[in-house]
Amino acid sequence: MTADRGEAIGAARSGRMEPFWDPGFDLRRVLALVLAGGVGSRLNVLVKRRAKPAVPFGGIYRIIDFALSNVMNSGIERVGILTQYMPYSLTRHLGRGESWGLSGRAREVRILPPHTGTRASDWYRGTADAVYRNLDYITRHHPEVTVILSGDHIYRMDYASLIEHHLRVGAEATLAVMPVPWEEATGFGTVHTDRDGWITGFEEKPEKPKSNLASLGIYVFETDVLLRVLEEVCGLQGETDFAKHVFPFMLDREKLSAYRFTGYWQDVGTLKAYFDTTMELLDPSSPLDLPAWNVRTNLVEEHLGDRAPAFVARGARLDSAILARGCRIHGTVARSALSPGVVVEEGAVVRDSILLHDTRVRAGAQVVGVVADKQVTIGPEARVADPELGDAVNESFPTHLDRGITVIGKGAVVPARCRIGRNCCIFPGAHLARLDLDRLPAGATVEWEGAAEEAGGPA
Amino acid sequence: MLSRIKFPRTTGMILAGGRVGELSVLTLERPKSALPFAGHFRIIDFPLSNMAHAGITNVGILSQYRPASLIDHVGVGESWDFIGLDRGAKILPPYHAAEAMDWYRGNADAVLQNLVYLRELDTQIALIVSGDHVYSMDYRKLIYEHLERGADLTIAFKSIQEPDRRFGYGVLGPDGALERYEEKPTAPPSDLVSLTVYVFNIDPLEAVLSRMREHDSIEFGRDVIPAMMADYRVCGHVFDGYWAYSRTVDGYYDAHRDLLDGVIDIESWDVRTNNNDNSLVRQTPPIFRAGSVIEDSLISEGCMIAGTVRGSVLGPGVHVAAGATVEASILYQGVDVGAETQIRTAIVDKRVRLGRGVRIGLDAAPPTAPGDVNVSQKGIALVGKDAHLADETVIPQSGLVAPAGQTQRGAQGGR
Repeated sequence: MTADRGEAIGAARSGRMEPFWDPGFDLRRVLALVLAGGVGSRLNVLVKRRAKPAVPFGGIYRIIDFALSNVMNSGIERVGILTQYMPYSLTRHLGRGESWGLSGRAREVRILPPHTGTRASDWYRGTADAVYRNLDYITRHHPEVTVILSGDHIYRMDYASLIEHHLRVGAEATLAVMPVPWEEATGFGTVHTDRDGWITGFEEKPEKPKSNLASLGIYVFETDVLLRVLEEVCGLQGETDFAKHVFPFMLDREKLSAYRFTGYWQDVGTLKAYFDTTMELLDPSSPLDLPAWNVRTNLVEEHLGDRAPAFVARGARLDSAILARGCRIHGTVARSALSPGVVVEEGAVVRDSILLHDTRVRAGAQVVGVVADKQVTIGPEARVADPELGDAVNESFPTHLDRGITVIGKGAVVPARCRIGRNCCIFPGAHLARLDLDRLPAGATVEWEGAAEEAGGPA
Repeated sequence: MLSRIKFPRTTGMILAGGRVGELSVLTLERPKSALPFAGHFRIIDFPLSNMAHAGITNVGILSQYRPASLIDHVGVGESWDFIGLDRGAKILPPYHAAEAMDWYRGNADAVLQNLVYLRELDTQIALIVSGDHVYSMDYRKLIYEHLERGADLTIAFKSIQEPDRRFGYGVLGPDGALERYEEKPTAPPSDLVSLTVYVFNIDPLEAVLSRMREHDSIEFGRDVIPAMMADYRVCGHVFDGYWAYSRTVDGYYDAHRDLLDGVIDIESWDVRTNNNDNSLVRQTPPIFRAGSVIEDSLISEGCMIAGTVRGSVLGPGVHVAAGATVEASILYQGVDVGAETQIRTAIVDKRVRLGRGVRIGLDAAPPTAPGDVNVSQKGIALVGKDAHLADETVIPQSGLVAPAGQTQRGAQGGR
């Protein structure tokens, strides 16, 4: 057995892989579970009122679209979505799953929120605990294998290849891993493997990594094994995570395989990564190639589909930009991604920025190096992320905002002629004129309470 | 029969079937109401959206000419909220009956053949409209006025500046009664043209249509309106909003200019369309490469622009290579414009592929041979669906390229 497995992996590594074909296996019977409960607090004000997987990305998408489109493109037809934090935007966005072809008699997208009746505290406590609370759902579908995914990442992966690997080597569970630069390995859970690709150890965010194979939070389990292990692990303790508890528990007992992924994968869990990854969309040579990826999103939501095509007026200037439907551009837009309904008035300049839905940049304003959430207003002649106001890192979020990007929460209003420095953070709904603010030095944070009512609309 | 306080049970009928020769190669493979408009919309979205906003939730679409694109587009009517109990959008093609098998013989015959559809829905009022016009009209207002006046038929009219022989003209009395009606007159009796928007009480409609069963063809303007005027109360409603006629290449083209000028405002009109189209849902937002120049244009999703686009409307998935120039033109979905290619004042249909250095609409047309009729007075060049033009091809002003797989009907001398 071991020799066969070694041979298969060796063959796979040398690229001589024979096509694997098991006529008894049906991808449509695979169940995918997407972990979509994460808070993602390093995305700062973008996740104040929505879960991280629901954060808009690339103009019309939300982050979870990538995992769901991978599911669709892989031929998997049943998905459970484990939600917890601020699920409203996500629930709306998923609908009945039609956007991914996942609604029908045998196809489904099912939202699985925490529910009472299981234990003293009924909130999900950890990734494994969230799955454990939904064992009923899994057993009802009795899939041969269960795939567990994170809804937080921008990537294109054919889960069929992953499952094929899992079946070929005969593992109890398989983790998708990717080699990352050594200096970045400290931020991941890493896995150690033997020369045949079997996992021999784990390290969670190691200070001195002994392996640069990062776990991508994408797992395949034999369903029987998953059920058995979760009963054993989650029955015992409070908080349980796959990375911290389940896999270390399984290490000596089960066969754990590593599947090397070599395509594009990006965690956009920090503002900086979110910004850089969005900018990659503008780079024709980037492997992040949306047109080729067949990523789907929900166009019906918020009547996105009824909006007119992007309008570029006489006198407008564009230089490397993404403009979603309903955008109206009269000024200049360069190296920026604009979500539906963004208006850039005459004489306004938007550069190196991400502006989400229906944000309005009034005449003569300058917006450079800014991430603005939905329905933000930048007043006439205002300057945001003005380099003349210094370079100080943000006082409240020194690790989020230290590279110059200023972030503005949903529905905030920057008044006319107001000047805002770099690395600033403005909370959702903040109305700077009411605070008598016409100048905000670099690194300042403007907090604001009760923003939800003021901003309105779905997050 | 009709209550004055409760909105009557109204069924919408959209006359969407016809193909008009005036639209040339654009309607060889689709009915005119399925023509794309403003990128990803289609003309029929305007009447469908007007119906949806008026709360008319049962709509029959009368279609006979190549209805496939229309069937795909309307689907089950979900986009206009026509799904649910007591709601529905139905394409009503001609059908085989026990004793007769008839193609629709004229637009009113299409309604005649579907009277049973109207009856099954307990229709009190049939709102019959053309599927070919670009406008936003509150049909509720029209129907209330119809009820107020105790009319059996109300026709919407609009005052126009330049007389056009294609229309039907009406003369209204002070109480709104239609005193005269002339279809395609040589000398128009007024400036009020019919918009092909009719509000009929069901009984008179059925009575008049049934009388005409044996006619060779039945048209609303030519046959039904005069017959209604003879026996029933017929009124006119004057509409003062924007209305564009998309049955000619020039009218259709001008409506796009109005769109760019903001005269047609898709968003404030709340025009709805069906995005559940496989070729649409996979499109990303448009991407503008460094060096691209865009002005005064609407750009749909999936577009990839590296060249220059001015005064144009680009449908989904259009690619414009670096060095190419598109001016004052309408490009449908999936058109591929090669490097150094120039397009001016043209309409380019779906999936047309233009090689390098192609010139469309820049060069003067060759002299017109006697008997030839230009489809456009403005010299608009038309390129039919799926055509592939090799590098350096020249299509002059008013030039006409047949869709791939079609012979060039009525087009001679490369025009």
